[in-house]
Amino acid sequence: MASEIPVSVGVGLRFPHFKDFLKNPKPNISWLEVHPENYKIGSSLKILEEIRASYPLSLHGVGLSLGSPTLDLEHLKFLKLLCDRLNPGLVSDHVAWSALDGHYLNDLLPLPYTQESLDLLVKNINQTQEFLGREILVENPCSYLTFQSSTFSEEEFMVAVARQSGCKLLLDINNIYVSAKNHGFCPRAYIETFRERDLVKEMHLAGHRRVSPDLLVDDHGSAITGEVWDLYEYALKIVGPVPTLVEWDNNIPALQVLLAEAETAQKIMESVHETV
Amino acid sequence: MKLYEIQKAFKKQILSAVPTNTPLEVHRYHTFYTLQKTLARTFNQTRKFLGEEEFSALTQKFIEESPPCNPYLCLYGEKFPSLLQDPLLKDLAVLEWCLQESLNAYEESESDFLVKLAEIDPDDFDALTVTLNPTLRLFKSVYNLKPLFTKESLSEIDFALGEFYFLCKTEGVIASVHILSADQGVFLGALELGDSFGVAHEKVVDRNPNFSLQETLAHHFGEKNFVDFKI
Repeated sequence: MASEIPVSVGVGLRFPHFKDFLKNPKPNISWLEVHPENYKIGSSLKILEEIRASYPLSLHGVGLSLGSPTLDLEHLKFLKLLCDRLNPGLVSDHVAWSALDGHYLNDLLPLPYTQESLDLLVKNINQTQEFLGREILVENPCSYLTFQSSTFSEEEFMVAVARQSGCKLLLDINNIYVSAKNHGFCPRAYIETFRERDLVKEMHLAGHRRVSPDLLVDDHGSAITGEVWDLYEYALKIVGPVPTLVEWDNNIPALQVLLAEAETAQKIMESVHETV
Repeated sequence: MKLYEIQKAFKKQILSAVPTNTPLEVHRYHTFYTLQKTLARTFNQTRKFLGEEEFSALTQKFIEESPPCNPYLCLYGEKFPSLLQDPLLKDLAVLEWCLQESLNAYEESESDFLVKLAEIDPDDFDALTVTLNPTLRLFKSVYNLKPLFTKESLSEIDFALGEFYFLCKTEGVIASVHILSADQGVFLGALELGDSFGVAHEKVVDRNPNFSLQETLAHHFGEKNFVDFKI
């Protein structure tokens, strides 16, 4: 199976759907994405290799902790091993941190957008790309707080990270929407920053939850909302068609529900592509 | 403030089991929620017999004191059993961790163990040491823990003390726990420590003169419990 991720819509492969992807006929979806940290279990990796034989695959990490003072070399070795065994079309992680002084906090924690953070991220992304021998993508975080010390806007920071490290960007449309609502900025203006810059190579779509009148949380636990669909359509017009992934990590529904979301995204992508 | 100082302050707040009234609460809640869910999945039977409230309190304490040391959730929880006071539930938790380790260790590989073994002179068998199937985990307890995987209440179980050996093994993608006879447990335990067939056999014969090495080896060969050997 070819490794290149097609410019179409894929879904996040999660354990409850393994059996759907192992039987015939295979579910009709053009590519899959997995979190590499979930495949430390040998038995799961074996199944993933079997599924990989039928679908292009993207590795989307949550554990590299690119915003930490140093990278975990053991984890980098594990990622390299997965890249060698699975030949993924894309490898990505986040503009965030989760590890400090040997402990992992198991969440994607925010960074202040300062020169110090930029230098650190660029150093760690360079090290990762060099170690893996390939380009990676980094995703914009979902944000619940801002730092007074930030000297860049998030979108300017993302562009600077990509320019200085040579990596590409994964735009999570739901993250942009949730952060915009939490902090009161215009999500379309954010996306406008990436117009014709050839930096965005993938997009993510997911559901979110309102936990209070002024706080949305990116929980990947429900269907994509109308506002996020509208923003996705807008983003496609600005950055052009790129591989797009539908993620659903909590309250995981039947595969058909997830595939229906992917089909909606595919129709939007095709309609924008025709118009453009 | 330097980035590292900010991160240290974040880490301290996030690893507090007490909710904070700050924007960091989203991250603190998510961290605890995910790690508690992971521990509940790994120690599912222990949780059932301990009760939700006590399990939740113990896992909160565990996360505060022993946060993960790597990004793989499947490897989190090894030291959790040490927090349990009840010796029966502590042993059950250790056995559940053995199951998780067995599952993590699975790696499909073709072993030519029997082909290589056929070339060995039977007179040399006593000197052989073996590499066990990497998914095997042996655990000894004074409790018969096996019924705890099928019963709903502790009152349904007869807890006569004894010498019980359990073997966790993963086949395909299923990890399961098997109860072994004491002889088999001692034999496999000796092999695990690096004893040769001959030495392991002697250890069991000291306890049971009727122990049959031939039958035992035939059983383990059939179960593919050995993957390599050396003399």
